[in-house]
Amino acid sequence: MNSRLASLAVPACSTLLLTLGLAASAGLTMQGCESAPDAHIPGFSDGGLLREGRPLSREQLYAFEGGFDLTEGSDLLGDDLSIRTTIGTVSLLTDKEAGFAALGAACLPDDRVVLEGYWQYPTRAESGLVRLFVGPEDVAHQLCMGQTPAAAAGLELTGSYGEDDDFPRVPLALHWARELKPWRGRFFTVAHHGACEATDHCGVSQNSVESIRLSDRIGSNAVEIDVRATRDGIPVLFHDPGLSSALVRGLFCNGKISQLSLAELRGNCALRYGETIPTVAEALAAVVDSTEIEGVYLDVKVPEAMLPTTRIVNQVLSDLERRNSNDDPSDDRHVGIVVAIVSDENLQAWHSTKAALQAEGLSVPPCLVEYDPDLVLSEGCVAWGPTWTGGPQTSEVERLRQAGAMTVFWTINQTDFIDQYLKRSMPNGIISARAALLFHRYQKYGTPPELAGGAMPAVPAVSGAPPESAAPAPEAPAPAVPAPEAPDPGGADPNGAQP
Amino acid sequence: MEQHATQPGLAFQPSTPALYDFRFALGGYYDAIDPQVMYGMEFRIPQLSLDARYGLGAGWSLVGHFNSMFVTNELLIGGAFAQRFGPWSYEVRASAGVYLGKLGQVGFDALLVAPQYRPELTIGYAMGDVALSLRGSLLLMSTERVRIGEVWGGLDNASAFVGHSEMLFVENPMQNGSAWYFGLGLMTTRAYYAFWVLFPDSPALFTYPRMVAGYEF
Repeated sequence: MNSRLASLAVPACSTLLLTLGLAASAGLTMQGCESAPDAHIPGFSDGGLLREGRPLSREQLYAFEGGFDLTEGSDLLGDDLSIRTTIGTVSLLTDKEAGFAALGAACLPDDRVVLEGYWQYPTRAESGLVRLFVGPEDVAHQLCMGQTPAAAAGLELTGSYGEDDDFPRVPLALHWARELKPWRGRFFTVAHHGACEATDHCGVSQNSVESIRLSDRIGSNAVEIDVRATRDGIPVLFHDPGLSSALVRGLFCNGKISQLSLAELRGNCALRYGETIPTVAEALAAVVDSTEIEGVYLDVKVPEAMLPTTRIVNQVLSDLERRNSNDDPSDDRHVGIVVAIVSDENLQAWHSTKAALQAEGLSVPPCLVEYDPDLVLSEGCVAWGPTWTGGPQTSEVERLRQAGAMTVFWTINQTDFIDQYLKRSMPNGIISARAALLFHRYQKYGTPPELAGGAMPAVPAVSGAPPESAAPAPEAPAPAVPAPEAPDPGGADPNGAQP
Repeated sequence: MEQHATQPGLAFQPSTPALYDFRFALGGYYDAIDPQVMYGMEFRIPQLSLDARYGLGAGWSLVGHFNSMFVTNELLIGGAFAQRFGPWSYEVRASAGVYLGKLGQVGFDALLVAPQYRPELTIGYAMGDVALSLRGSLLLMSTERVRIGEVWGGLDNASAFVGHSEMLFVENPMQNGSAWYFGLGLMTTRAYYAFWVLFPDSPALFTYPRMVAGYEF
């Protein structure tokens, strides 16, 4: 019996030592695994041609929007792609590897117009430089004369691309083929965590101001960002409760967000690529001031963040309302912000937040419910945010649409399912870390959401032009996201299309 | 040790059991999956595992493996051939089976199914009463099909080569013929193999430790 017990008790000492050694090795391996993925954003060694030229105006960039077919360079960007623009950026968006190219545009002294920047596949480490020239010559001439071409039809972009920092030499050529389906104020390509997954190679950390700016350049017109509260009650952007090395770096960066003051958090921690952990106020300021993002989906993770977050949202919306009601339409800016209710616990916090705001005579910002479509209606929220893993739920989406509420699925990064959800459920938006893929597949298979009970923003006259604003119908819930862009003061219709 | 490895054979040590000899191993393992793969999720679920060896004689065995954490299940059946040279031994095995994932709760109505293939090479060494086995495995899958609700589709960046593993198993036979085993090693896999239900689309390979332990009888 004793010898049997002895044999059951423990393995030989040598095997224990072996195990300890292996465990130590495994621990070291895990440490190595948590470094930020390699990311290389290439640049022209001589600064490129953009610095020699005069940047095109925002209005001129609209002329580049449309669906394009590639005659050369399909190995990189597929057979077709969509081009959309934002402040200072022309974005080439493709479904090949969810790839994109973010390009600046300038008129050169010799009357040529150059688009220059970089391409990248977000899930892969590869990236490279792109240089394109605008044709035909008369279009380039018009742009250099400060005019906006009357139509994008006939637009050609020819040049080359390269790998890494190598000078671009591989031919790339595309020509305008079709108008974009309406998307501004209609369909929301919502950037997950600001823009990137932790496994991506986009070179910015999720839930950072930098990722919000990037999302605007690579195909998103809305952002989903995660909110938690510090010990001193400041709402900040952060996904996890704890400060794991998967999201942050810093020798003394540990514990939980809720255990640290904002000063302690920022003193000890930086995001993975070195950015500052932003407050909600800073993030919303960046959205409003330095992007054309139309919608913000605030995923409030904890009840204690609900009231302070809602106060900030209220302040931002009030500031925007004042800004948009003055006599100068050129400074108008429309951003829809929704506060997401993600659990029953947060619903209780939402109720007390509403009571607190109403007691102070403040308005209650729009809300979104993630988990129960019935609550969307009973709580007077403007949108439902179901997880895609429950299926397309077509009948529920339609029921809410009929009631004037929107649906935004989270979080679909897979092509087959993006297509199926676009075709079957026709949602108002999808959260995705693959903005280029989602935008281009929407252009291929999506149906621009109809106006639902007057609650939806108006259809832009032309997808490439700033859409006209429209007031919600009486008794309809307030638009959750995106009131549309302000009308172009000049009334220019760069694509020449009719409303 | 020689006797255990030949009559009835061990689950992991290269073994040459006689015809009809049978070895069964019940255990579990734990993958400390790379946090990047888990999209911020902090939980890691241990898996139950069953391994079986059935002697065919002349160095040949019929082998089977099953593991489950309910959301993810793998079942593999194959053949193995081993030879022993004093304390040293080697075994070559090839298995085929299915990777099946299903979750119908907590907001999921999801299923993943894929055929799986696993060629493996094991080098064994008998150190007194302890059997050490170093096993390298290639993890191959193809044609992943995913159902979400009523919608079927494939996975972006799926690849037939989903990874490899290198495991060191330690088997400690007892006088009654049963054995304890434990082991440690490294998994290097694509994210969707590590935890399919998050539907990661990264083509990268991620490395994480796997710890195993169990009982053979």
